[in-house]
Amino acid sequence: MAEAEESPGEHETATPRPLFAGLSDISISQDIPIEGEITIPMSAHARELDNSTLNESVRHTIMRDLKAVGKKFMHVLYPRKSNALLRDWDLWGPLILCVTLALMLQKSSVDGEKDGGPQFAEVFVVVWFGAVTITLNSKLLGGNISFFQSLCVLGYCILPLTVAMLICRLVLLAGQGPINFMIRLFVVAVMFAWSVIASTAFLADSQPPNRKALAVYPVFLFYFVISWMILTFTP
Amino acid sequence: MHAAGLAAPAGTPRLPSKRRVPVSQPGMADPHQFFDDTSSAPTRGYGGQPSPGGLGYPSPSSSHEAPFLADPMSNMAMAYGSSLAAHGKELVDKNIDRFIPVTKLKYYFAVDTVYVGKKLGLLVFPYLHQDWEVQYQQDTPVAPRFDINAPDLYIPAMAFITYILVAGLALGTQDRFSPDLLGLQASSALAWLTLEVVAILLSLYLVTVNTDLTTIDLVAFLGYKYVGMIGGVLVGLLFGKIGYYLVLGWCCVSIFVFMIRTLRLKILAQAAAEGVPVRGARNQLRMYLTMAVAAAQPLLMYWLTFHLVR
Repeated sequence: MAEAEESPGEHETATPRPLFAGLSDISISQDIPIEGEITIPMSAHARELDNSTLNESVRHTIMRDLKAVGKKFMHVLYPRKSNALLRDWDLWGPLILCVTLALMLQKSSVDGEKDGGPQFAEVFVVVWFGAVTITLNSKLLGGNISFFQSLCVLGYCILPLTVAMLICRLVLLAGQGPINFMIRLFVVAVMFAWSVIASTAFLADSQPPNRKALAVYPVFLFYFVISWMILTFTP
Repeated sequence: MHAAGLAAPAGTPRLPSKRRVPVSQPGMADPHQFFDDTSSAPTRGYGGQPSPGGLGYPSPSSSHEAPFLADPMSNMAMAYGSSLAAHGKELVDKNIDRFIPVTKLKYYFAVDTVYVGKKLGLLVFPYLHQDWEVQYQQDTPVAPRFDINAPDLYIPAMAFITYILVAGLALGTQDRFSPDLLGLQASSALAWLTLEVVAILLSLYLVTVNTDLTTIDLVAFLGYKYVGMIGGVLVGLLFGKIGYYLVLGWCCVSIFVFMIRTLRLKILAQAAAEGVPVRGARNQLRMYLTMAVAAAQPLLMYWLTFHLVR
């Protein structure tokens, strides 16, 4: 078995024969040892750039994620027809925004829990279950957007309302009154419109034109609820 | 005996029994290239979508060049993992489909804006509509998009959610609002809906009606009353009790007529539905059932909204 027989293919025939005619005569009756080395040509530089980001420093990782989140914030604030939010979705931004909003909306009173302000968990639940419901509705209506992409868009578009919350809190420091209320109403209304327009710019594209309004209506309701919570907040 | 398996017939290649020399690790940097490196430029990997199984090519998100085979073991592992993920996903889908018929649900959401507008108009003013029969297309009813008589689940679902929010709004204007009251409203409305569905299904079973009224159809029909409730409460918030009673009264009568005309086609026998009065205990029983279902709607509409408008 260990004999090495020369492969019949090594005998080149000089006679003019049609191509591959000799193949039918080849019968390999013994082992042809094939040995050698197969190496994949790779430079040492590419070796370090493979997928694992485990070796980088923690600061580097956090900065990369923060930069991605910040870039998406910019996309929300200036809604253009771009795919950045949809393509590289992440849920860090919505989490940060939701936690900030819930912290600011929390009633800071210790006297009685029935005072009407939402607790942290309630805001959280409203935001996330609202987003899940809208996503389910959008998917059932036949949109071609994935579950997490939709959650990402809805979460990021809470940014204008969070800004409105900050402004309301600042305005409330100057005391309460009807003018105060009108200012707050105006700010919240503008930010609400901004949120709805920003999320519509991303979500409506995934639906055919005769169903856009149907997909936008629950988004409208969702941001209306959040705006209502912001507007009725009294410290 | 002819030893068939002993000797291989001449001319066929025998399996090599000699072990091949093992291939050395491909990770070594070797300038000696045996072939052209035709690996294409890397595509930006989609973070959210599952990686395409089976190929095993790495989808780098941070590297700038794609090595042709970074490491065969990790590629195999990735291919195996993604095939596992695909298998798991279809297992989950199959099991979910057993409990919640997703494809059937999709039929009820095949609506468009024109349909929703016309249906809302029909719910508020059903008196002029003539033909209440759902069109069929080769044994299956057509999608709601194409026939206004077909039931859908978009309007009931949205109406339910809007009703809960409007209830919260109404309670807020009376200074009786707290967020857990929203949850209370939601669960009590849902409980009433479930009770209705169960009661009607039970009575349909007892009366032995063989009808093509499915459970989801029933939920859809029973969900239409929330539209009237929302209208009533909103007008009540703006114009006080008088407005509330007027609009609610109008919507109650409309939904009564709507339900009678729709259910008549589904529950009653074919002959009776065409207007020919058929005598017989069976049809009378069915007629009473239809009337009872239709009469329950205004009652529930009032019951679920009167405490919101003071």
